[in-house]
Amino acid sequence: MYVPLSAPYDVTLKNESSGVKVKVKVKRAKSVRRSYRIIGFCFLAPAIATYLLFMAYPLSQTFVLSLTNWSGFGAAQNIGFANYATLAGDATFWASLKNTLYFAFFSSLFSVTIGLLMAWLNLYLRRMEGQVFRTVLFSPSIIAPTITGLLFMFIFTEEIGLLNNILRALHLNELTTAWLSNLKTVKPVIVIATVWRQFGLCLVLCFAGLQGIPNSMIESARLEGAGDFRIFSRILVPLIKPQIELSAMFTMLGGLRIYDSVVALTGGGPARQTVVLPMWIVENAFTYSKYGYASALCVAFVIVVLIFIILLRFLFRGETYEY
Amino acid sequence: MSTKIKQTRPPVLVETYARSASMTVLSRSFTVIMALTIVYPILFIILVSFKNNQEFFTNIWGIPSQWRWENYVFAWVERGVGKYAWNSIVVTLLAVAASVLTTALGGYALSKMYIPKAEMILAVLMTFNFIPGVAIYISLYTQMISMHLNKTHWMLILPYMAWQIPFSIYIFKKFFDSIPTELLEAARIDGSSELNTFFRVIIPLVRPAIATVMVFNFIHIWGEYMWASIASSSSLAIQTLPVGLLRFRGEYGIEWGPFAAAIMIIVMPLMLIFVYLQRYFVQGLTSGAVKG
Repeated sequence: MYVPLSAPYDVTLKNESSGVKVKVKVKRAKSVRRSYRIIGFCFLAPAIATYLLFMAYPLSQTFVLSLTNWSGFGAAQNIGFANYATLAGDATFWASLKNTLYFAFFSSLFSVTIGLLMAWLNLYLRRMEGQVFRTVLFSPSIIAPTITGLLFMFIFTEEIGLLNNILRALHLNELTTAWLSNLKTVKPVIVIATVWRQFGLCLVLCFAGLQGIPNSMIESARLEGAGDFRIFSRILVPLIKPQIELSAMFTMLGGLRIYDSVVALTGGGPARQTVVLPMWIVENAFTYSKYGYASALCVAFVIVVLIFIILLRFLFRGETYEY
Repeated sequence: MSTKIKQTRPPVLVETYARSASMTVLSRSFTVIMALTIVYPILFIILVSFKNNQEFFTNIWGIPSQWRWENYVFAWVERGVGKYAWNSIVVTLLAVAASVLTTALGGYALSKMYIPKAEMILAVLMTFNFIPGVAIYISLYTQMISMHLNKTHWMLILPYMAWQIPFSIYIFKKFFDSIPTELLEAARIDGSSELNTFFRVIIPLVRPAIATVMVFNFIHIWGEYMWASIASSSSLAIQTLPVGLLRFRGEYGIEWGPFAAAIMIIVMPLMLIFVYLQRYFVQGLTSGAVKG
C-alpha cells in the first residue's frame, strides 16, 4: 500500500495472543513537514508581499490620512476625527451613498431575477441551442463597464439616440425624452446599463446549479402532476439557493463599486443627481486636493462595504437542501 | 453540511423539461428577444464605426453606403488610439504574466506545502478582494510617487498584478487541491527539487487553471478605468485604452464614426479571447459555485 510521506496514516496493531486490535495514527516526522513548509513560505512570499505592498499598506495609510487635513503639499497635520464630523454633515456624501445603494440594490435585484428566469428558460432549449444563447447572453459581462456606459450613451442620447429613434419610428413621440438629463429616467437608465452587462453572469451561475439537479426528481414531480411553473418555484429555486445567493452577492458587491459606467453615461449629472460615492471621493481628492477628507470618505465607504458583506453572510446562512 | 457522496450525474436530458410545446415556444421567444437586446447594440456600434458624421445623422439604422475603413485608421493614428492600445498591451501582458506566476506558486504552497491556516489566509484575501479599489487610490498614488514609479508603466502594472492575486490564488488552490498528493510524493522520492516538481510535474497538470486565471485577469485589467485615469492624470504617456476613449469623447466634438471604431478596437480583443476561451471563463465562475 502506498503511504504518503508526510500525511498522517493509520496502522492497525494486533496482539497475536489476545487478538486485541489497536488502531494507531502515525504522524510523519515533524521535520519533514517543516522543511516543506519553509519552501512553501518562499513560494507564497511573492504573492503575499505584492498584495501587502499594493493593497494592505495603502489601505492602512488611508486610515492614517483620514485623521489629517493633508492637501497634497507640506506635512500632514493630525486633526483627529474632525473629518468624520464634517462627513456626517456633508449632504453630498449622504446623497452619493444613497445613489450607490440604489444602484447596487436595483441592479442586483433585476440581474438576479432576469438571470434566474433566463437560466430556467434555457433548460427548455435544445442543448446546442442553449449553449449558443448562453454564450451570447453572457458576452456583455466581459465588456468593460466604461464601454457599456458609452454603448448606452449611443442608445439613450436625446437627439440621435437609438431608443428615441425607435420610439419615433413607432409614432410614440410622446414617450421620447432626454433619457440622460431627465431626472426621472436617468437612474433607471444606469440600472438598465448595469443589468444589461451583468445578468449573464447570474444566468451562468444559476444554470450551473440547475444542471446539477437530477432528472429523477423532475420526473417524479411530473408524475405527481406538478406543472412547469410549480416545478420551477417549488423544486428548482430552493435547490439552487446557493447559486442564487452567490449571484446576489457578486452583483450586490459589484454594484457598490459602480463608477465607470456612471462616468461614461452621465458624469454625475444632471444637477449632480447621479453622483456615486467613488465619484465624490475622487472629486474631493483629485479636484479639490482635500486628501484628508477624501480618505475619511474612503474609510466610510469601506465600512459600508464590510457591513454589506456581514449582512449578506447573515442573510444567506440559512440551511441548504441536499439532494 | 452533510457528507457529500460523489456521484456522476447523467447529463440533463432536454426531454426532462421540454415536454409541452407552449413552454418551448415561450422559452425560445424570450431567449431570442433577450439575445437581440444584447446583440443589436453591438451590431449598431459596428455599423456606426463605418459611417461618417453626415451618414450617421441621415442613415442611422442602415448598412453604411460605403465601408469607411479610414475611420479605424483615423482613430488609430490621428486620435492616438494606437498609442493607448500599445500602453494597454504592455500593461496587461506584464501584469497578467506576473500575476499568473506568483499566484500559481502561492496557490501551490497553500494547497500542498502544509502552510498553517491556509484556509484562513485565503478567506482573508477574498474578503480584502471585496474592498473597493477607490479606498486605496489616494495613498497608493502618493506611495507610487515616493517609490519613484509614477509616470512609468510600473505604476499600473504592479497594482494591477497585486489586485488580481486573491481571486487567482483561490482558483489555483482549488485546482491544486484536486491533484493527488501521491504524485508530488513520487516526484519528491525520485529526488526532484520542489521548483522542479512544480514546473515539470504540477504546471502541466493545471493548464486549465492557468487559462482560467489568465482570461479573468486579462478581462479585468484590459478594461480597468478608475486607477488608470488617476495614475495617468500626471502623465499622458501611460494612458490606456479606456482612459483614452473617454478623453476622445470630451476633447473634440464627437466624431461618431471614429469614436465607434475606437470602441470596437477595445472590445475586439475581449471578444476574441471570450470566443476562444469561454470554457475557462465559465469554469472559473462556477468553481466553488457548484456543489460536489
